[in-house]
Amino acid sequence: MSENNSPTYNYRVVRQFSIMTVVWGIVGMLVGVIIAAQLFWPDLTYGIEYLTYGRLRPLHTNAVIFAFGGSALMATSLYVVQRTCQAPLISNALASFVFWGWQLIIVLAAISLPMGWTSGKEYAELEWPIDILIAVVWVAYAILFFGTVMKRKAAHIYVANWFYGAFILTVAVLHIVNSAAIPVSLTKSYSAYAGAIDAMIQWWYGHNAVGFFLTAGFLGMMYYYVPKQAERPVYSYRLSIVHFWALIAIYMWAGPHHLHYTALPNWAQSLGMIFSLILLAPSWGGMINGIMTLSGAWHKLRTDPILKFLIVSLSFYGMSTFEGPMMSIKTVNALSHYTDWTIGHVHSGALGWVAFVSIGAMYYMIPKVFGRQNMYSTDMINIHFWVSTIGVVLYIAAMWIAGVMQGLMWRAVNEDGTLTYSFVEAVQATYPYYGIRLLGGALFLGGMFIMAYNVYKTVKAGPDADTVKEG
Amino acid sequence: MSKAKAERIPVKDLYAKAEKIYPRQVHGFFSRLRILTVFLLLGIYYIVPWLTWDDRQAILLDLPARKFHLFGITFWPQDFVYLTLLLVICAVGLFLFTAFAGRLWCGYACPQTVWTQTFIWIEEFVEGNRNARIRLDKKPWGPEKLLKKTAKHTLWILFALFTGYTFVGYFSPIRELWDGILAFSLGPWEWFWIGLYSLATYGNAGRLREQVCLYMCPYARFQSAMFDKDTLIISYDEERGEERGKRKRNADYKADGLGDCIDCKQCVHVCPTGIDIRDGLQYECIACAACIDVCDDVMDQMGYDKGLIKYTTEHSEKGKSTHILRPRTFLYTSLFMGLIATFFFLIATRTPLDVNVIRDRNNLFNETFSGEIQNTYQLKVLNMSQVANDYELKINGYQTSQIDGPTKFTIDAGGVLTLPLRVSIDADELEKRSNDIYFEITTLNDSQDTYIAKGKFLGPKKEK
Amino acid sequence: MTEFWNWWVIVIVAINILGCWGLLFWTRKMKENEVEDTGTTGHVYDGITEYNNPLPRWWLIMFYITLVFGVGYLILYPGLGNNKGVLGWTQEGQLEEEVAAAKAIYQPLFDKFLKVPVEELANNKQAVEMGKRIFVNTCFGCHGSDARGNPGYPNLTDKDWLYGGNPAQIKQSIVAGRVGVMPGFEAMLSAEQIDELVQYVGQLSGNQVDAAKAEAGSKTFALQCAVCHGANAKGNIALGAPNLTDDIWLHGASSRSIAQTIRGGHNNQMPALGDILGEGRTHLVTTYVYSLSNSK
Repeated sequence: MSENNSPTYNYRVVRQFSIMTVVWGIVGMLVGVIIAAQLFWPDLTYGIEYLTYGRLRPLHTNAVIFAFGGSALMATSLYVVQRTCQAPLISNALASFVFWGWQLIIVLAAISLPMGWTSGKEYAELEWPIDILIAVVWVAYAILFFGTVMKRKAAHIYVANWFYGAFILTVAVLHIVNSAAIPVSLTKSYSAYAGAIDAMIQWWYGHNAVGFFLTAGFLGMMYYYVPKQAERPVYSYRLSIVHFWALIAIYMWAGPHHLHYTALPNWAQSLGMIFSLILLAPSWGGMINGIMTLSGAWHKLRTDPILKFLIVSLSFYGMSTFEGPMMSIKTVNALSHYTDWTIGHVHSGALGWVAFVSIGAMYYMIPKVFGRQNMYSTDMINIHFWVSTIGVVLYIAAMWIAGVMQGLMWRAVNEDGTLTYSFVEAVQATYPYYGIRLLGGALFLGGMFIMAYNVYKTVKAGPDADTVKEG
Repeated sequence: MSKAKAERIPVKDLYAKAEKIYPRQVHGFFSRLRILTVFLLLGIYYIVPWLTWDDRQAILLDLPARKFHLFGITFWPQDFVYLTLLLVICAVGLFLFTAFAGRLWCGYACPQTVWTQTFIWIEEFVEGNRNARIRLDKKPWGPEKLLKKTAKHTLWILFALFTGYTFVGYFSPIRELWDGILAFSLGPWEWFWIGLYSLATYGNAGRLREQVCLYMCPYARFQSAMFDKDTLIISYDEERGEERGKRKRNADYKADGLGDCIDCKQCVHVCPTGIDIRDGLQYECIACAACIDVCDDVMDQMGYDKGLIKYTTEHSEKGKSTHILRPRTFLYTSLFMGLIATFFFLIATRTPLDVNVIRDRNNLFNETFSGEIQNTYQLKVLNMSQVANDYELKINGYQTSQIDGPTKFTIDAGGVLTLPLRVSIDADELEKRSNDIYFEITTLNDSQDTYIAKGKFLGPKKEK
Repeated sequence: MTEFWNWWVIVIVAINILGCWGLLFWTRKMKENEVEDTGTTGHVYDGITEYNNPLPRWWLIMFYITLVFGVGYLILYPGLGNNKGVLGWTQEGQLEEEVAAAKAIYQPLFDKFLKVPVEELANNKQAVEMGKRIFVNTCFGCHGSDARGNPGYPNLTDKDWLYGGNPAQIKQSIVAGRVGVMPGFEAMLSAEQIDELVQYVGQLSGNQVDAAKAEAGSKTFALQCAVCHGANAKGNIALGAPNLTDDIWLHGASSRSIAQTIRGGHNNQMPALGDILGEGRTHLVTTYVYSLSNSK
C-alpha cells in the first residue's frame, strides 16, 4: 500500500467525535430502551413529567440521529476528507468549534426536550435558539469540509466525499427551511408555515433527514470503509456516478409518502409515491456497489467481524430500501401506515444499516486514530456483532408482525360493518410484541456497552510502539 | 492495493447482459438429496391447499375474515405472536444450520433454488442437455428453434400460472378459485395476485435465476457473515489438484508434475452460478455441491480417489481438527431447541378463548345509595375455537362483587361477543383507588378452558 | 394551483424523470481509455482504487420499469400539476366509492330488519346483537356500555321513561334528540321552602322524612312544580319531566342532590342521532334499547 502520510492531519477532532459516537450511541439507545420499557411497563417512571414517553421519545430520536449518527458522520467525514484529499483540515480552530458546538447542541437538546420545550416537528423538535446554533455550527462544518476538499492534492474528488458533500449541503438547506419559525419566547416558537404546507415542509424535511442524513452520509462512510477494510477496489466507478446523481435527485421527492390519504393534495401524494418507487434502483445501486466490492474478499468474512458488520449493514440497507418503496405504494400504505410496521422499517434501517455501518467504521478507524494496529479485542467485536444481530432480528420481527396484526385488527369489521375491535384491543394485543422489542433493543444496547469497553481498553493502551506513525 | 489483479475484464457496455449459464445436470449423492428436497418441498406446496379437515380446507389463510385455519386450529390476528416466535426460530435456525454446514438453505431448500431446478428440468426436457441448449441458442432462428423455445416458454408459463394459482389458493378456497378462473369471475385482487406470483415465478426461476442470489438476496450475505473456521464449505483441494492439466488415462501424471485435477471443467459446467470452485471460496457459491458430485464421477472414471472437491472446513483444510461442538453451535442449538419447545408448549396450551376488558372511560365510578361502588365494562369475548360454546363468567378476588349483566352465554364458532356489564363492589372492600379485578371465563363443555382477564376497578379515595 | 405553479410542478417532474433516463443513457457506454491496464480507473484515493465493472442489465431494466411505471401513473392519476389524470381519481372519490361499496354489502341486512316491527325484532338475536354493537359504539359515553346510565344520564334498562318507552317514542328520542329543562328555583324560593320541597319529594318515593316540612312542601309543589311534574308528581313524558314517585333519581338521590337540583335546575340534552346513524341503524338501536326492558 502506498500511503502518502502527512503528519499534519488533524486526528484530534476525529478522535473526539469517535469517542462521542460511542458515548452518544449508548445514551441514545439507552433512552430508546427506556421508552420501549415504558410501553411494556407504563408506570415505569412514576409519572415524573421529565421522563414521560412524550418527552423522552424525541430525546431518543434526536440522540440517535444527530448525536450518535451526527458524531459518527462528522468523525468519519473529517477523517475521510483529509485522507482521500491528502490535505489536512483547513483550520484546527474551526474543527474544535465544530466539535464543541455540536456537543453543546446535543447537551442543550438533552436538557430542553425533557423540559418539554419543543417545536412539535418530528426530528426537528429543538426550539429556535438551538436551531440557530445548529445552523451556525453546520455552516462551520461545511466550510471545514468543503475548504479541505478545495485544497485537495488529487484532481478528482473521491466518491465518498460526494456523498458527504451532498449530505452536508442538503441538511443545511433542509434544516434552515423547515426550522423557520416565529419566536414568542426563548423556549417557544410557531412554525412559519401553516396547515398542509407545514405538513408538507415537515415531511420534505423529515424524509430527507432519512435520505441525506441517514443515507447519503452513511453511503459516504460505506464508500471509504468498505473498500478499506476489504482491501479491494470499489466495484464500479460508473455505478457510483449513476446512483449518486439519481439518489440525490429523487430522494428530494419522497416526503409526501408520509402523508398519504391526508389533507395533502392528490397530485403531491402521487408524486411522493412514484418517486419513492423510482428510488429503488438508485438505492440498490449503492448496495450492489458495496456488496460487489466486498465480494472479492469473501473469505475474510469468516474471520473479520468488522467486515461482518459492514456486509450485514449493506444487506439491511438493501432490505429497507426495498421495503420503503413498497410501503410508499398507497394500497400498502393504507394497511401499514400508523402501525408498528413503520417502526420496524425505520429500525431495520437505523439499527441494521446506520448503526452497523457506523460501528464497523468505528472499529476500523478508532485504532488508527489512536495509533494502534487493531482494536483491543477482536473476539469482543465478534460478540458485539452477534449480540446486535440477534437484537435487530428480535426487534424487526416483533415490530413487523405487530404492525401487520394491528393493520388487520384495525380494519376488521363485523357482519354489519361495525368495527370488530376497539383501538385499545389492538394495543392490548401488541403488548407481547413490546416485550420482544424491548429485549431486542436491550441486546443492541448491550452490544454498545461491549464496544465501549473495547474502545476504552484500546484507547487506554496508548499508541503501539511498532505502529506506523500515521499522524 | 497494487497487487490487486484485474479479474474482471472491462467491457464497453456498462449495463452488461448477464451471461447465460447452462448448468449441466449431475447425478450423485448431493444431487439425489436435492431432488428429494425439491420433490418434498414442491409436493408440500402444491398438495397442501387441497387437503381438507372437518369439511374445510385444511390450510386456509382467510384474510378478509382475519381467520387463519391450520388444520384443527384457527388462528386470529391476536395469535400473530406465534408467528413472531416462528420467525425468530427460523432466524436462529438459519444461524444454526449455517454455522454447522454453510449455505445449506441456499443449496437445497431456498424457493429460488427449488423452482429454478424445476424450470431447468423443463428446459432440459424440451431443449435437451447442456450442449444441445448451447447449440440451440447459437443457431439462427428457424422452425425448430422457434418450436422449442415456444414449447419451453409455454410450459414455463403454465407451470408458473399453476404456481400462482396455488399460492392464491392458500388465501382463497382453492376449489372455488378454480371454478372462478374457468368462469372468469374472480375479483381484481385475485387476478392481480395470481398474475404477480406467476410473473415472479417465471421471472425468478426462468430468467433471473442465479442473479437473485448474486445481487439481491440479503440472506446470502447474512449466511456468509455467519461462517467461521469450522463451517462446512465446498472446497477444492488445491494441494492435491494442482498442477491441473490434461493427461492420458493411466499415464504417470505425477511424473509429469501434474496433480489430480484433469482440468475437464465439469465442475464449472454444472455450477448453477457459473463459478469455478477451484478459485476458492466465492460469494456466488450457493453450496449446492453439484461440483462435488460431478468431480467424484470424474475421479472414479480416472481411477483416482474421490474428494478432490469436497465438503470441508477451513480448519481441516489447514490440517487442524474441526470442532463441531463449539460455543456458537452449542448456544444456537440450545436456543433453537428451547424456542421450538416454547413454541409447541404455547400452541399446546393455547386456549381458544380470549377476553378483552374495556372499562368505560367517561365515568370513573358510580356510587350507589347503599355505598356500593360501580364500574361499567365491555367484555369482548372471542370464541376462537371451531365450535359454538357455552361460557360462564365470574369475578375473582372480591367477596361482595356483583355482576349486573349476563353471566352465562353462548358464542358461535369464531364469534366475538360484546358483553356490557356493571360490577358493584362494597366500598369497604376496596383498598385503593385503582384495584385489580379478574374476570374468569370458563368454557362449559368438555374442555373446561378457563381464561382470566385482568382489568381495573376504580373507586373513591379512602377516607382515613 | 395557479398556472405558474402548475407548470412549475410539471416542468420539474419532467426534468427529474427525463434526467434519470438521460443519466442512464449517458452512462451506457464507457469512453475509451477510461480504464487502465490494471482494470481500474487509475484514480487512487488513500490507497483505494476503482474498478469500472459493468452493471447488471436487470438493474437497468428495473430502473426503466420504475420510470415507465411513474410516467404511466402520472398519465392515469393526478400528479402533473393541475392535471387530473385520465382516470379522474381523487382520494375523496375513492372514499365515496368505498362507502358505496360498503353500503352495497351491509344495506340489504339493514333493509331486511327495517321491515320488521321493533316489538317483533326484539326477539331476533342477530338484530339485537347488531343494535348492541351500535349502542356500545355510539351511546356508551353517556348511558354506559351496559345502558344502565350514569349520574345525569338515564338508565335505559328499567321501566322508567322520561319520554316514553314504546318503540316510536324511543326512536323519536334517538332521531331528534331531547332537551329537558328543569328551571332553577333559587331566586324564587327561600332556603326553607326548598328544604320543605326536598322533604316532600322524598316522601313521594316513600322515604323517611320530616312530615311537617313535607306537608308544607306539598303546597309549594302544587304551586311551582305540578305544572311540569303533574299534580300527582308522576311526571309528563311530553316535557320529559320525570316521575318523582318511583325512587329513581337521575341527578342523585340524597337530599343534598335533590336540593341542588331544585336550586340550580338542570339542562339535559340528548343529541339528535338520526343523521349520524341513518334509518337502518336507528331501527336496530331502538330494538336493542327496547329489548333491554322488554325481554321475554
